[in-house]
Amino acid sequence: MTTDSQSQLSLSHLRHELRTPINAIIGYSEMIVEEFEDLGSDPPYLQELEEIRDCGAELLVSINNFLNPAIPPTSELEWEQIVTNPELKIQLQKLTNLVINNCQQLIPTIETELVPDVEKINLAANKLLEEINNLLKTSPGKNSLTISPKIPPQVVEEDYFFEPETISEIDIIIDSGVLLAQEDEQPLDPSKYTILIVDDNATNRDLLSRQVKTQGYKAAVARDGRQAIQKIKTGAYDLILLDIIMPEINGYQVLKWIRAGAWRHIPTIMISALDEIDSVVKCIEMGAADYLAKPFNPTLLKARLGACLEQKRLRDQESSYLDKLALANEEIKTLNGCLKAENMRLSTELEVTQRLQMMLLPKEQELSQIEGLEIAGFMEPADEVGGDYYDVLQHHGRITIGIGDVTGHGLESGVLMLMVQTAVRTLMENNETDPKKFFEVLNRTIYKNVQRMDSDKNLSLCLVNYHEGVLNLSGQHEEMLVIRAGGTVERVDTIDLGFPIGLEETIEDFVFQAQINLHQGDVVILYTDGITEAENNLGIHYGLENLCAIVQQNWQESAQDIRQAVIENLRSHIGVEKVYDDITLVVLKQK
Amino acid sequence: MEIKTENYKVVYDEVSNNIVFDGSLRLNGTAEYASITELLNNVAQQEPEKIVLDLKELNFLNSSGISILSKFVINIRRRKNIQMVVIGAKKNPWQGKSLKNLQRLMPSLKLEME
Repeated sequence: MTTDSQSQLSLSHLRHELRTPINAIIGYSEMIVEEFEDLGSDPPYLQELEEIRDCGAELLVSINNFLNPAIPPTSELEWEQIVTNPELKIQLQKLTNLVINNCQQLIPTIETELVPDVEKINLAANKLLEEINNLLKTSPGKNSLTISPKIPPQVVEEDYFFEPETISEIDIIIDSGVLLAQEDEQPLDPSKYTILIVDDNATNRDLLSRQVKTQGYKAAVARDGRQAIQKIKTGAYDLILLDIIMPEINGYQVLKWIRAGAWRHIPTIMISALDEIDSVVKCIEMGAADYLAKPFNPTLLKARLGACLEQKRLRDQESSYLDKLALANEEIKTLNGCLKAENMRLSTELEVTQRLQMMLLPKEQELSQIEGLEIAGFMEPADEVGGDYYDVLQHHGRITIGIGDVTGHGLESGVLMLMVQTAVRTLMENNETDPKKFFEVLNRTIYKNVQRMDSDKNLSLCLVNYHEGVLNLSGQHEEMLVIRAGGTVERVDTIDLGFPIGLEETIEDFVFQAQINLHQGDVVILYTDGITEAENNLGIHYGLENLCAIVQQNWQESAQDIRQAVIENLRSHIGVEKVYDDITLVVLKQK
Repeated sequence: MEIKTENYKVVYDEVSNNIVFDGSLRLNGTAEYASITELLNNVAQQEPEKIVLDLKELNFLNSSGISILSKFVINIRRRKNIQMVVIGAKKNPWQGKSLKNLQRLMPSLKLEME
């Protein structure tokens, strides 16, 4: 370190040391004055207090005038000239003594609870006198030992030299009514906020805590950087007032630590002397929210605390929104997972239902063994399985062909169709031949199960009994087509032969039987609406007429070939359109 | 209350208690019919003296739709005091057969074919 910079450093240091007691004088006197102003009272000793405060302000100006020259000292000699300037000593001593005198007058007259504060002013003034007397003994080489063991941080080396106007400008800002107007709009509830005050100077801590508390906030204090870090780690603070110049861990280091860690969201206001503006700039660059100059001006403090806490409140709100957003995102993810699981379940359900539907279909081999009739069946479950049913059962030489369609789609429809198959087989095995009884028992069985399932499904069902060239049919379903050998078409309406199964508790009254005699070469077509209502790309149904026509053209073919002709014709109608319903076709041909 | 889509519309007139169906209803299963079911249930719940189900302009209704109408008629029948009229048209082939089931469900139901 060169002598020059050492001289400058020492000047800055000197100013700092002298200002500390002055700040206490101004701080306490101003606080008492403000208290009276707030109370609206005008005690006789207000004049003394104001004089103390004004002396404090003048002391600061003098120190700036004398110890912060426009041209910094370049040698020890110059430095000594500045420091030992008799005018400086006279000026400072005069003002300080004025403060002490006022204190002496105040102590016996002022309210008892204010006496300690006045004593603090008195003590600070005496300390200042001592410092002033020490000035003459000081030289840059030894000053640090005589004044204080404290070494200010490096940054202060680049001292900032104030023009007096600059200072007064700042004073104007401090007193402007704009800040006062803003504080009226204060939306915060200060009692919810805790402010940590970090300052190695007990007077500063005391002054700041009291001002902070006066404004309704909760205050906590830390006497140095180490304690500050400890407290921040364990406590919940909404704002930190941080002194720059402290022994060991200084304000920069604490600020750097705050900004680098999990506490970076806590706004930090730096406490500095007015001529440490460079340090302040550095701190703001490092992320400090604002700065507060010593001596502390209560109005400014209030405005800055309010502004910083409002910003913090908004930031907290934003981060709470972000948290909520993140939470919502999580929920969406979970739902997405559920959806995937649901899709998986659905595709599993689809597979299960398709298998259920196919596993009970009559085998080709069974069909080929039936005497007197050629039978060809076809079933193709839709993408969403419907509840189509067809069956060919043989019992004691009696052949029953069943065809039906459960409303709706999915597992429930498939299960219902299985129940119908079992019920039909049970009734047949039980030799029930009366169609009314057959359908009544079947309907009641299905109806009760549908009720238990709390399902809204029902089904159409037509049962065709065949015996030696005679067809007896009952139950309501689509029309049955009879294409006589030669190509004549007869459409057999089944509406009056039955009623939907599972819709009403009893259907016996609606069940009737129709009889058709078959001759060699006659073809019978049973189907579900999956065929007649299959749509092409224009939404046009395949329709019953098309079905009749294709069978008419192919009546002389085998049952299998007729089946193939119908399915091919149907597929050419559908094209690439989605198949919405199961497609079921049964072709019977009299041998 | 009304439901309108490209292919069909269902409108309930609260003054005349007419429920008018229009277009072609080919919805897939009970789930897709839910909004229509809700409309019908709402009408039933209000228990007007008379309900007219006007299906003249409904040129197609699939089996799921017929099932929905059947359930509606059963609902009305249970409430006993509601007079039910169903208006169909011969130009719609599906109605000749399917509407018969509605009458079977509720013998007092008046079926008018235009």
